[in-house]
Amino acid sequence: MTLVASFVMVPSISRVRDEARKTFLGRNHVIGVGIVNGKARRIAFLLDVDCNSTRIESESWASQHAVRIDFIVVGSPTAALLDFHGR
Amino acid sequence: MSDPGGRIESADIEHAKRALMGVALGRRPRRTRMMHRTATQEQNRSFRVLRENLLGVGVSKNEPGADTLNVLVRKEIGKEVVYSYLDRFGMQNFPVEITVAGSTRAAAQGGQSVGHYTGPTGTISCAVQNENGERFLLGSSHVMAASNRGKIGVDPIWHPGPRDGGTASHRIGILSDFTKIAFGCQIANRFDAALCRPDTLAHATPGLLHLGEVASATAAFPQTKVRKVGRESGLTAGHIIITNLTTIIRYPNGLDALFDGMFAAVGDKGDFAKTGDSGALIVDEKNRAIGLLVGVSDNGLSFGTELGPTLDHLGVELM
Repeated sequence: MTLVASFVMVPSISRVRDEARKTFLGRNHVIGVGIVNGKARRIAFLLDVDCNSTRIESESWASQHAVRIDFIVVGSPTAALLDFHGR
Repeated sequence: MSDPGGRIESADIEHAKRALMGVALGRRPRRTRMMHRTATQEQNRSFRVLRENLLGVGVSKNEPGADTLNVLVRKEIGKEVVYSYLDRFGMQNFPVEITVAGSTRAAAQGGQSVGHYTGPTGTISCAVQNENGERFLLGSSHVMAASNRGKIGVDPIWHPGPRDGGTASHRIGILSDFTKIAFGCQIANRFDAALCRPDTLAHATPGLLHLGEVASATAAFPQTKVRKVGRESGLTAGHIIITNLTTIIRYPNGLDALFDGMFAAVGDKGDFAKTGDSGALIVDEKNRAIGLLVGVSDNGLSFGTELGPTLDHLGVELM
């Protein structure tokens, strides 16, 4: 009897994050990409507005890369200073 | 509550003392049934003046022998500042005495207001030193260097910052160094930090307001419990939810800047940080420094850059 083992290489979470950054950042309302939990293979996408097509497109990408994506709608993050120009 | 003649009930004194000591401890007044109205701009200014100066509150007797609220402050403030703050709680007619105790705490310390003389106002991170033992104050580049407009060795830094009533007489030092922010999203930034060379050592006292001594720098990890002291939101607690974050931050000049290696935190009760907290040092439960606050979002996320690489880049260390 012959045993045949097949290995599927799972890329590291940092590599997946880098790949997600290259693929999605600055497109389709994705303004941020980070790691939520490396062991659980969860990454975060920060969105300026909620966008269904982004969720669908990136979730299909996520399943190919064996990660889960947390979508967080943050609007437009701003520098946290006060000045004399209305802030 | 209190009659116009100035006699006050002991329960009212305790109430007023609690309200004022909350300020000294860095707590924002919460909306309660006792809070009669929302704060006006003037009352918010009074809150900040009190927070910068209040050392303690006690009760003493005035000449007719009536109880008087005795407010111990670092620098002279007008009674109207106290009245304006207490007015939020419906307490206007207390007899108040102001006692100036001088500087029993840091003249300029992490967590307090700081600004570039042209207007940008934020928070002092902490005191740092270089290899020659020269002392500096660390803060945000977009505050102390006015988003790349600052002139090293020339521009005065004020404490408190201009938005908190700071003027030329509040100068504490000059801009000594800063990391330039790359706007547009072609180049990723890793730092948003600046150094102020203090005019006197008292203008760069180590440690953080309310939290004390800061331990060594450490990295940001998910779910790490964190705290910070900011000039706007005071002392708050929260935890980190995202690390290795690449994101876009919008600056007051309307330009976006891309940041790499950030982390994001949320508050345990309400927002972890607010506009005006830029530069605040983010520490873990053991006061180990994790990062500098850079930005906030409308939904309550706070964004920071890691402190370790920032210190290395500026050639300084914690003290």
